[in-house]
Amino acid sequence: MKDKKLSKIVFIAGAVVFSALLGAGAVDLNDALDKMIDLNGTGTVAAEKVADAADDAKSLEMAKLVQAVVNYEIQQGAAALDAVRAAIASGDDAAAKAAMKDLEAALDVAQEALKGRFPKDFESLVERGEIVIPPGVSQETVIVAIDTPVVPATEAGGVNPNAVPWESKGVQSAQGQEAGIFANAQGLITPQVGGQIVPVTGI
Amino acid sequence: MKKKSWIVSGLLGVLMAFSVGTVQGRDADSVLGAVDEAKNAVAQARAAIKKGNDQSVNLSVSEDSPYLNSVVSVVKQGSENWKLALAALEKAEECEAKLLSSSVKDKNLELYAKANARLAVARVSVVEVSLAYVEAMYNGKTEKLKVLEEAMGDAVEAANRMQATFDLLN
Repeated sequence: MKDKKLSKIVFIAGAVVFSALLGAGAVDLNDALDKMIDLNGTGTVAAEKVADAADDAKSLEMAKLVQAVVNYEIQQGAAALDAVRAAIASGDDAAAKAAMKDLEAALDVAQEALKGRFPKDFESLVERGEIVIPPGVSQETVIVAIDTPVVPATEAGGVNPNAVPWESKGVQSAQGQEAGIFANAQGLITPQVGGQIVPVTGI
Repeated sequence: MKKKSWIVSGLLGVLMAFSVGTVQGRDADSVLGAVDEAKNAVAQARAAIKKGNDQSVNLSVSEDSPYLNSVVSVVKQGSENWKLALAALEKAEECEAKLLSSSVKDKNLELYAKANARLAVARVSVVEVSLAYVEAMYNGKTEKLKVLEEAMGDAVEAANRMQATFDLLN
Protein backbone atom coordinates (compact mmCIF):
# COMPACT_ATOMS: atom_id res chain seq x y z
CA MET A 1 0.00 0.00 0.00
CA LYS A 2 2.85 2.32 0.95
CA ASP A 3 4.66 1.52 -2.31
CA LYS A 4 1.59 2.27 -4.31
CA LYS A 5 1.23 5.66 -2.64
CA LEU A 6 4.89 6.44 -3.18
CA SER A 7 4.76 5.54 -6.84
CA LYS A 8 1.79 7.81 -7.26
CA ILE A 9 3.73 10.73 -5.72
CA VAL A 10 6.72 9.98 -7.95
CA PHE A 11 4.45 9.88 -10.97
CA ILE A 12 2.90 13.24 -10.13
CA ALA A 13 6.32 14.77 -9.46
CA GLY A 14 7.58 13.39 -12.77
CA ALA A 15 4.60 14.89 -14.58
CA VAL A 16 5.24 18.28 -12.99
CA VAL A 17 8.91 18.23 -13.99
CA PHE A 18 8.03 17.08 -17.50
CA SER A 19 5.42 19.83 -17.85
CA ALA A 20 7.92 22.39 -16.62
CA LEU A 21 10.46 21.22 -19.18
CA LEU A 22 7.87 21.37 -21.92
CA GLY A 23 6.76 24.79 -20.77
CA ALA A 24 10.26 26.20 -20.72
CA GLY A 25 10.51 28.02 -24.02
CA ALA A 26 7.85 25.92 -25.70
CA VAL A 27 5.71 27.69 -28.28
CA ASP A 28 2.22 28.49 -27.09
CA LEU A 29 -0.45 28.28 -29.79
CA ASN A 30 -2.29 31.19 -28.18
CA ASP A 31 0.79 33.36 -28.57
CA ALA A 32 0.88 32.44 -32.24
CA LEU A 33 -2.81 33.26 -32.62
CA ASP A 34 -2.21 36.54 -30.83
CA LYS A 35 0.45 37.46 -33.40
CA MET A 36 -1.80 36.39 -36.26
CA ILE A 37 -4.65 38.52 -34.96
CA ASP A 38 -2.31 41.53 -34.87
CA LEU A 39 -1.07 40.64 -38.35
CA ASN A 40 -4.63 40.50 -39.65
CA GLY A 41 -5.14 43.88 -38.01
CA THR A 42 -2.52 45.32 -40.35
CA GLY A 43 -4.70 44.14 -43.24
CA THR A 44 -7.60 46.15 -41.81
CA VAL A 45 -5.46 49.27 -41.56
CA ALA A 46 -4.06 48.77 -45.08
CA ALA A 47 -7.58 48.56 -46.52
CA GLU A 48 -8.53 51.75 -44.66
CA LYS A 49 -5.50 53.52 -46.08
CA VAL A 50 -6.56 52.61 -49.61
CA ALA A 51 -10.06 53.98 -48.99
CA ASP A 52 -8.66 57.14 -47.39
CA ALA A 53 -6.43 57.76 -50.39
CA ALA A 54 -9.28 57.60 -52.91
CA ASP A 55 -9.01 61.35 -53.59
CA ASP A 56 -5.34 61.47 -54.44
CA ALA A 57 -3.92 59.39 -57.27
CA LYS A 58 -0.34 59.27 -56.01
CA SER A 59 -1.30 58.50 -52.42
CA LEU A 60 -3.64 55.83 -53.73
CA GLU A 61 -0.85 54.14 -55.67
CA MET A 62 1.37 54.11 -52.62
CA ALA A 63 -1.44 52.85 -50.39
CA LYS A 64 -2.08 50.00 -52.83
CA LEU A 65 1.57 49.14 -52.83
CA VAL A 66 1.66 49.11 -49.04
CA GLN A 67 -1.42 46.93 -49.07
CA ALA A 68 0.25 44.49 -51.48
CA VAL A 69 3.17 44.13 -49.07
CA VAL A 70 0.87 43.73 -46.08
CA ASN A 71 -1.26 41.11 -47.84
CA TYR A 72 1.85 39.19 -48.84
CA GLU A 73 3.05 39.21 -45.23
CA ILE A 74 -0.38 38.07 -44.04
CA GLN A 75 -0.10 35.10 -46.41
CA GLN A 76 3.35 34.36 -45.06
CA GLY A 77 2.05 34.69 -41.52
CA ALA A 78 -0.89 32.39 -42.18
CA ALA A 79 1.48 29.74 -43.57
CA ALA A 80 3.70 30.18 -40.52
CA LEU A 81 0.70 29.81 -38.20
CA ASP A 82 -0.24 26.55 -39.93
CA ALA A 83 3.34 25.39 -39.46
CA VAL A 84 3.25 26.33 -35.77
CA ARG A 85 0.05 24.37 -35.24
CA ALA A 86 1.39 21.33 -37.10
CA ALA A 87 4.68 21.43 -35.19
CA ILE A 88 2.93 21.71 -31.82
CA ALA A 89 0.64 18.82 -32.75
CA SER A 90 3.62 16.67 -33.67
CA GLY A 91 5.62 17.76 -30.64
CA ASP A 92 8.42 19.26 -32.73
CA ASP A 93 9.34 22.20 -30.56
CA ALA A 94 12.26 23.34 -32.69
CA ALA A 95 10.06 23.53 -35.77
CA ALA A 96 7.38 25.34 -33.78
CA LYS A 97 9.91 27.94 -32.63
CA ALA A 98 11.21 28.41 -36.17
CA ALA A 99 7.69 28.86 -37.53
CA MET A 100 6.88 31.27 -34.71
CA LYS A 101 9.88 33.38 -35.69
CA ASP A 102 8.57 33.45 -39.26
CA LEU A 103 5.21 34.62 -37.98
CA GLU A 104 6.79 37.35 -35.88
CA ALA A 105 8.90 38.45 -38.83
CA ALA A 106 5.81 38.68 -41.04
CA LEU A 107 4.11 40.85 -38.41
CA ASP A 108 7.15 43.12 -38.11
CA VAL A 109 7.43 43.64 -41.85
CA ALA A 110 3.69 44.30 -42.23
CA GLN A 111 3.76 46.87 -39.42
CA GLU A 112 6.78 48.56 -40.97
CA ALA A 113 5.00 48.64 -44.34
CA LEU A 114 2.11 50.52 -42.74
CA LYS A 115 4.65 53.14 -41.68
CA GLY A 116 5.87 53.43 -45.25
CA ARG A 117 8.96 51.30 -44.89
CA PHE A 118 9.16 48.67 -47.56
CA PRO A 119 10.95 45.39 -46.93
CA LYS A 120 14.59 45.23 -47.90
CA ASP A 121 13.92 42.40 -50.34
CA PHE A 122 10.91 44.16 -51.85
CA GLU A 123 12.51 44.42 -55.28
CA SER A 124 13.36 40.74 -55.47
CA LEU A 125 9.93 39.76 -54.17
CA VAL A 126 8.41 41.79 -57.00
CA GLU A 127 10.83 40.33 -59.54
CA ARG A 128 9.97 36.81 -58.44
CA GLY A 129 6.27 37.62 -58.67
CA GLU A 130 5.68 36.89 -55.01
CA ILE A 131 4.37 40.40 -54.50
CA VAL A 132 2.14 41.32 -57.41
CA ILE A 133 2.01 45.01 -58.22
CA PRO A 134 -1.66 46.03 -58.07
CA PRO A 135 -3.33 47.35 -61.24
CA GLY A 136 -3.05 51.10 -61.57
CA VAL A 137 0.23 51.36 -59.71
CA SER A 138 2.79 52.98 -61.97
CA GLN A 139 6.35 51.85 -62.43
CA GLU A 140 7.42 55.22 -61.04
CA THR A 141 5.74 54.51 -57.71
CA VAL A 142 7.29 51.05 -57.58
CA ILE A 143 10.71 52.58 -58.17
CA VAL A 144 10.08 55.10 -55.42
CA ALA A 145 9.20 52.26 -53.06
CA ILE A 146 12.35 50.37 -54.02
CA ASP A 147 14.83 53.22 -54.23
CA THR A 148 13.82 55.98 -51.90
CA PRO A 149 13.78 56.13 -48.15
CA VAL A 150 10.10 56.61 -47.49
CA VAL A 151 10.06 57.10 -43.74
CA PRO A 152 7.47 57.99 -41.14
CA ALA A 153 7.08 61.71 -40.53
CA THR A 154 8.04 61.47 -36.90
CA GLU A 155 11.50 60.24 -37.80
CA ALA A 156 12.30 62.96 -40.31
CA GLY A 157 13.14 65.98 -38.28
CA GLY A 158 9.78 66.69 -36.78
CA VAL A 159 7.91 67.42 -40.00
CA ASN A 160 4.24 67.81 -39.23
CA PRO A 161 2.40 65.32 -41.46
CA ASN A 162 -0.80 67.32 -41.19
CA ALA A 163 0.74 70.56 -42.36
CA VAL A 164 1.44 69.24 -45.86
CA PRO A 165 4.62 71.25 -46.04
CA TRP A 166 7.27 71.61 -48.66
CA GLU A 167 10.46 71.76 -46.70
CA SER A 168 13.90 71.55 -48.12
CA LYS A 169 16.01 69.04 -46.28
CA GLY A 170 19.05 69.42 -48.46
CA VAL A 171 18.47 66.19 -50.30
CA GLN A 172 19.06 65.83 -53.99
CA SER A 173 17.40 63.87 -56.71
CA ALA A 174 19.38 61.53 -58.92
CA GLN A 175 19.59 64.41 -61.38
CA GLY A 176 21.14 66.69 -58.77
CA GLN A 177 18.05 68.80 -58.18
CA GLU A 178 17.14 69.82 -54.69
CA ALA A 179 14.15 67.83 -53.54
CA GLY A 180 11.33 69.01 -51.33
CA ILE A 181 9.96 66.78 -48.64
CA PHE A 182 6.26 66.25 -48.87
CA ALA A 183 4.33 64.73 -46.02
CA ASN A 184 0.94 63.43 -47.02
CA ALA A 185 -2.14 62.80 -44.94
CA GLN A 186 -0.98 59.29 -44.13
CA GLY A 187 2.14 60.67 -42.56
CA LEU A 188 4.39 59.29 -45.26
CA ILE A 189 7.17 61.50 -46.43
CA THR A 190 8.17 61.40 -50.03
CA PRO A 191 10.87 63.40 -51.71
CA GLN A 192 9.57 65.40 -54.63
CA VAL A 193 10.92 67.71 -57.30
CA GLY A 194 8.44 69.94 -59.09
CA GLY A 195 5.52 67.94 -57.76
CA GLN A 196 6.92 64.64 -58.97
CA ILE A 197 8.03 61.93 -56.58
CA VAL A 198 11.67 61.18 -57.28
CA PRO A 199 14.36 58.86 -56.03
CA VAL A 200 16.84 60.88 -54.02
CA THR A 201 20.01 60.58 -52.06
CA GLY A 202 20.97 62.32 -48.86
CA ILE A 203 18.23 61.44 -46.40
CA MET B 1 -42.51 53.86 -67.40
CA LYS B 2 -42.35 52.42 -63.95
CA LYS B 3 -39.41 53.67 -62.00
CA LYS B 4 -38.59 52.71 -58.52
CA SER B 5 -36.22 54.62 -56.37
CA TRP B 6 -34.03 52.99 -53.86
CA ILE B 7 -33.61 55.05 -50.79
CA VAL B 8 -30.64 54.74 -48.58
CA SER B 9 -31.32 56.70 -45.45
CA GLY B 10 -29.08 58.18 -42.91
CA LEU B 11 -25.80 56.83 -44.08
CA LEU B 12 -23.90 60.02 -44.48
CA GLY B 13 -21.50 61.41 -42.02
CA VAL B 14 -18.11 60.61 -43.28
CA LEU B 15 -17.36 64.30 -43.52
CA MET B 16 -16.28 64.13 -39.95
CA ALA B 17 -12.87 62.80 -39.11
CA PHE B 18 -13.43 59.10 -39.26
CA SER B 19 -10.12 57.36 -39.01
CA VAL B 20 -9.49 55.44 -35.85
CA GLY B 21 -7.62 57.79 -33.58
CA THR B 22 -4.82 57.04 -31.25
CA VAL B 23 -5.86 55.49 -28.03
CA GLN B 24 -5.44 57.76 -25.07
CA GLY B 25 -4.03 56.38 -21.87
CA ARG B 26 -3.58 52.72 -22.75
CA ASP B 27 -1.06 51.22 -25.13
CA ALA B 28 -2.83 50.37 -28.38
CA ASP B 29 -0.88 47.10 -28.62
CA SER B 30 -2.04 45.95 -25.20
CA VAL B 31 -5.24 44.03 -24.63
CA LEU B 32 -7.03 46.92 -22.96
CA GLY B 33 -5.63 49.31 -25.54
CA ALA B 34 -7.09 47.14 -28.28
CA VAL B 35 -10.48 47.25 -26.56
CA ASP B 36 -10.21 51.04 -26.31
CA GLU B 37 -9.39 51.22 -29.99
CA ALA B 38 -12.47 49.14 -30.81
CA LYS B 39 -14.68 51.34 -28.61
CA ASN B 40 -13.27 54.40 -30.32
CA ALA B 41 -13.85 53.00 -33.80
CA VAL B 42 -17.43 51.97 -33.02
CA ALA B 43 -18.16 55.32 -31.35
CA GLN B 44 -16.95 57.22 -34.38
CA ALA B 45 -18.95 55.06 -36.75
CA ARG B 46 -22.02 55.50 -34.56
CA ALA B 47 -21.53 59.27 -34.58
CA ALA B 48 -21.15 59.28 -38.35
CA ILE B 49 -24.36 57.29 -38.83
CA LYS B 50 -26.20 59.50 -36.32
CA LYS B 51 -25.01 62.61 -38.10
CA GLY B 52 -26.42 61.26 -41.35
CA ASN B 53 -29.70 60.46 -39.64
CA ASP B 54 -29.89 63.88 -37.95
CA GLN B 55 -29.36 65.61 -41.26
CA SER B 56 -32.02 63.40 -42.85
CA VAL B 57 -29.67 62.63 -45.66
CA ASN B 58 -31.31 60.40 -48.20
CA LEU B 59 -29.62 58.94 -51.19
CA SER B 60 -31.90 58.12 -54.08
CA VAL B 61 -30.65 55.79 -56.75
CA SER B 62 -32.90 55.17 -59.72
CA GLU B 63 -33.60 51.64 -60.82
CA ASP B 64 -31.78 52.12 -64.10
CA SER B 65 -28.68 53.56 -62.48
CA PRO B 66 -25.51 51.63 -63.33
CA TYR B 67 -24.58 51.99 -59.67
CA LEU B 68 -27.74 50.49 -58.24
CA ASN B 69 -26.40 46.97 -57.67
CA SER B 70 -23.19 48.28 -56.15
CA VAL B 71 -25.00 50.67 -53.82
CA VAL B 72 -27.36 47.95 -52.60
CA SER B 73 -24.48 45.52 -52.11
CA VAL B 74 -22.26 48.04 -50.32
CA VAL B 75 -25.03 49.21 -47.99
CA LYS B 76 -26.06 45.65 -47.23
CA GLN B 77 -22.50 44.68 -46.35
CA GLY B 78 -22.10 47.82 -44.28
CA SER B 79 -25.26 47.01 -42.36
CA GLU B 80 -24.28 43.38 -41.75
CA ASN B 81 -20.81 44.32 -40.60
CA TRP B 82 -22.17 47.00 -38.30
CA LYS B 83 -24.16 44.37 -36.42
CA LEU B 84 -21.14 42.08 -36.28
CA ALA B 85 -18.95 44.95 -35.05
CA LEU B 86 -21.35 45.72 -32.22
CA ALA B 87 -21.54 42.05 -31.22
CA ALA B 88 -17.74 41.72 -31.21
CA LEU B 89 -17.33 44.91 -29.19
CA GLU B 90 -19.89 43.70 -26.66
CA LYS B 91 -17.90 40.50 -26.13
CA ALA B 92 -14.65 42.45 -25.90
CA GLU B 93 -16.15 44.70 -23.25
CA GLU B 94 -17.44 41.70 -21.30
CA CYS B 95 -13.92 40.28 -21.28
CA GLU B 96 -12.50 43.67 -20.32
CA ALA B 97 -14.84 43.86 -17.32
CA LYS B 98 -13.76 40.38 -16.18
CA LEU B 99 -10.10 41.22 -16.63
CA LEU B 100 -10.41 44.44 -14.67
CA SER B 101 -12.29 42.80 -11.83
CA SER B 102 -9.82 39.95 -11.45
CA SER B 103 -6.44 40.07 -9.81
CA VAL B 104 -5.36 36.89 -11.55
CA LYS B 105 -3.86 37.12 -15.03
CA ASP B 106 -5.89 35.08 -17.51
CA LYS B 107 -4.04 34.79 -20.81
CA ASN B 108 -6.90 33.05 -22.57
CA LEU B 109 -9.35 35.76 -21.56
CA GLU B 110 -6.88 38.43 -22.65
CA LEU B 111 -6.51 36.82 -26.04
CA TYR B 112 -10.27 36.48 -26.42
CA ALA B 113 -10.73 40.15 -25.51
CA LYS B 114 -8.08 41.27 -27.96
CA ALA B 115 -9.42 39.04 -30.75
CA ASN B 116 -12.94 40.42 -30.32
CA ALA B 117 -11.62 43.97 -30.23
CA ARG B 118 -9.59 43.52 -33.41
CA LEU B 119 -12.56 41.84 -35.06
CA ALA B 120 -14.80 44.77 -34.13
CA VAL B 121 -12.32 47.21 -35.69
CA ALA B 122 -12.13 45.10 -38.85
CA ARG B 123 -15.93 45.07 -39.12
CA VAL B 124 -16.12 48.82 -38.49
CA SER B 125 -13.62 49.29 -41.30
CA VAL B 126 -16.16 47.76 -43.70
CA VAL B 127 -18.82 50.13 -42.34
CA GLU B 128 -16.43 53.04 -42.79
CA VAL B 129 -15.86 52.25 -46.46
CA SER B 130 -19.58 51.77 -47.06
CA LEU B 131 -20.23 55.21 -45.55
CA ALA B 132 -17.53 56.71 -47.74
CA TYR B 133 -19.14 55.07 -50.77
CA VAL B 134 -22.58 56.48 -49.93
CA GLU B 135 -21.07 59.89 -49.30
CA ALA B 136 -19.28 59.86 -52.66
CA MET B 137 -22.49 58.76 -54.36
CA TYR B 138 -24.49 61.47 -52.61
CA ASN B 139 -21.99 64.14 -53.65
CA GLY B 140 -21.89 62.89 -57.23
CA LYS B 141 -18.24 61.94 -56.98
CA THR B 142 -18.68 58.89 -59.16
CA GLU B 143 -15.00 58.88 -60.09
CA LYS B 144 -14.27 57.67 -56.55
CA LEU B 145 -16.72 54.80 -56.61
CA LYS B 146 -14.48 52.28 -58.36
CA VAL B 147 -11.69 52.79 -55.82
CA LEU B 148 -14.14 52.57 -52.96
CA GLU B 149 -15.68 49.40 -54.36
CA GLU B 150 -12.22 47.86 -54.43
CA ALA B 151 -11.54 49.15 -50.93
CA MET B 152 -14.83 47.62 -49.84
CA GLY B 153 -13.73 44.24 -51.20
CA ASP B 154 -10.38 44.63 -49.44
CA ALA B 155 -12.03 45.58 -46.14
CA VAL B 156 -14.44 42.64 -46.33
CA GLU B 157 -11.56 40.29 -47.14
CA ALA B 158 -9.54 41.66 -44.21
CA ALA B 159 -12.51 41.22 -41.88
CA ASN B 160 -13.08 37.67 -43.10
CA ARG B 161 -9.43 36.81 -42.54
CA MET B 162 -9.71 38.19 -39.03
CA GLN B 163 -12.85 36.13 -38.47
CA ALA B 164 -11.08 32.97 -39.71
CA THR B 165 -8.25 33.49 -37.23
CA PHE B 166 -10.74 34.30 -34.50
CA ASP B 167 -12.57 31.03 -35.20
CA LEU B 168 -9.36 29.14 -34.42
CA LEU B 169 -9.72 30.30 -30.83
CA ASN B 170 -13.00 28.49 -30.33
